[in-house]
Amino acid sequence: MKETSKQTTGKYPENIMDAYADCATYLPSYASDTSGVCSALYELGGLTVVHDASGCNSTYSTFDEPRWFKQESAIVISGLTEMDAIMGDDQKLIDNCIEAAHIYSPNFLALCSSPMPFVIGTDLPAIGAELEERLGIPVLVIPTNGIHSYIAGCGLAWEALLARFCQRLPKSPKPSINILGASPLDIENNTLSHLCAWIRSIGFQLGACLALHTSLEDISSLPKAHANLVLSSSALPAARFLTHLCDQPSVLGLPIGSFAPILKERLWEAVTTKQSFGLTHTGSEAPLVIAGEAIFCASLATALPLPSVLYSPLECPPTLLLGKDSGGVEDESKIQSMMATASVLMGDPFYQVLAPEKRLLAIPHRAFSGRVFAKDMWNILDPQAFQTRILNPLREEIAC
Amino acid sequence: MLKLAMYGKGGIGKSTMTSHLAAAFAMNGLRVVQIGCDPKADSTMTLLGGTPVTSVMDYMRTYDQEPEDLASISKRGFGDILCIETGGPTPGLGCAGRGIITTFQLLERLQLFATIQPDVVLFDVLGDVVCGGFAAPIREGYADHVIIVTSGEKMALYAAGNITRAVANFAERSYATVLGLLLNRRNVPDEREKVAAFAQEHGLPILEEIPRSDVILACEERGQTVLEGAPTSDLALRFRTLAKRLWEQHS
Repeated sequence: MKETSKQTTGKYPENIMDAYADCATYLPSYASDTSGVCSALYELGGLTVVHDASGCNSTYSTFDEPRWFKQESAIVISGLTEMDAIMGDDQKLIDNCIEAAHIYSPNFLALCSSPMPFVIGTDLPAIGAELEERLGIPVLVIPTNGIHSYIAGCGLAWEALLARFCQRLPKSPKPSINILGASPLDIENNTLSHLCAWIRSIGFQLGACLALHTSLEDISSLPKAHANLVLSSSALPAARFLTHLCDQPSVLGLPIGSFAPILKERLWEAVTTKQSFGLTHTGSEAPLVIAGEAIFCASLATALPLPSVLYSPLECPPTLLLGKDSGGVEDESKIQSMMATASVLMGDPFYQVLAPEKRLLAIPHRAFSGRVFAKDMWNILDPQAFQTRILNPLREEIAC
Repeated sequence: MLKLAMYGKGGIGKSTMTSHLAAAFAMNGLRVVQIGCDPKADSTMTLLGGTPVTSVMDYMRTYDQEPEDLASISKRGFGDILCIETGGPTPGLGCAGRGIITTFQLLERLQLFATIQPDVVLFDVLGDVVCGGFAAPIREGYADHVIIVTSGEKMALYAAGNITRAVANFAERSYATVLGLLLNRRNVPDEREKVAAFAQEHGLPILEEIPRSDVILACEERGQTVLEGAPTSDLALRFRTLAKRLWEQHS
């Protein structure tokens, strides 16, 4: 905890919020990087092993993973104990991975790490190499440490996956678009269906989707498409990989409201010229505060009739959120000061606690509030829902 | 590139031997990096005239963030050797082994090898391979070979045996392998015979024998190696010959 103000009593700082700068005192943390790995690889027929104490699987399956009770996936926790850590019992992990692989017969094995193995320096690349030799299947070693968000975890997992399973391929005969960054942590099913229909409606074939309603075979076909639509910062490493591998351009954004025609134009230009299109938002002192994942926030901001200021505590590119925006830093005092001069907040309902008197237009985000608001999730790409839930309330505010 | 990790019992003279070897490689015309992997951060003192470099852990402690360039955590010493020290947490606190791993990851991010393009990299590692952090220098991508510094003292040979076994444990992992022993003499009775017997038992060569000498101590007092302080001495010649042989046979 940083104490940033002059202390008056010798015990408490003059302004209590200064004392809690950089601390999360009200808000929960976003889903962790290990949850991101599990979510990213869920549908691909692999065996994902989180090297961690038992218990983290409950957080993942209960809060972060809506598919857990509907769709099978081989995700296991190594059950690391204090003595395993002290003794550096790598052999136990290796033997257990081999046993699990014999049970599940996976396409590949993904091994990711958590705080304890990270701190004691467990050599996962060496363990992965040994497992690959003994199992005869690809082993992806994903260097998570449990202290970053799902953005980092999904990013590392998808990058490792593509590096292993994608190679240059001839392009599809018709212009086609991949969807990158689709995980239930960021996007719900109806929104994804709407997005697929939108891509077709603007004249493209749908390529592969990383990684919802998909398969390992689909993932291998990612290089066939002409461009990528990147929905979340979690897919930026994968987008960079595909550009490097096969000169495949990427366009960042979600086709929300009036931003959809702009995205359509950018996608066609990307396909025609192979030029990538990033996304930038410059925040100002504004009546709107939007909180959440950076690409989502910037897409939404572009579709609104009022200026806004964006807050994303998650990992995001330094060029995405500029001006008064705040990106990549978790700081409740920062968003509270943004909200002090705003009249409307948009984001997950959990943000309401920071300003109970302000109007919040709820956009539940599973990576943040888990299943708490699952029943209230809605499709922001649906023009009617967007009009009712966002634009109309904004008009009321403007009228006031 | 020749990448060597120096191990041995605490107090056996690893830093002294490592710095002398580094200086000898440099005098033989090679670009050298020495990385001290000891929380005490005293590996490179005799290459820097006794003025230490800011260790990586000290930098992080002071600024509470990672350095953005190599210049912030390195210093050129005798023979233009690039000196780096991992340093460590406050004694009695934290995790020194994790400090080594963090330093290595940082050096990778700062692209040490690609930027400096050294011919020789020397890792001077604290004591035995006590935990994962202290095994980091022998992991794939770092040192290719281990040199164990020992005397004929019983505990020094005991530690040498432990290190040999520790390295053998990782035989399936593409880790470094033990190149041989560097005998730093303490003039104990039958010293040469004892070390020779140990070497034979473990199938290791004695790479060189360094006689006990006050010249080393006198040079250390001035913050120098004998390569700098007494470059025409027999000792300096021994180190240069060893460096030449290691470079020719293992680079």
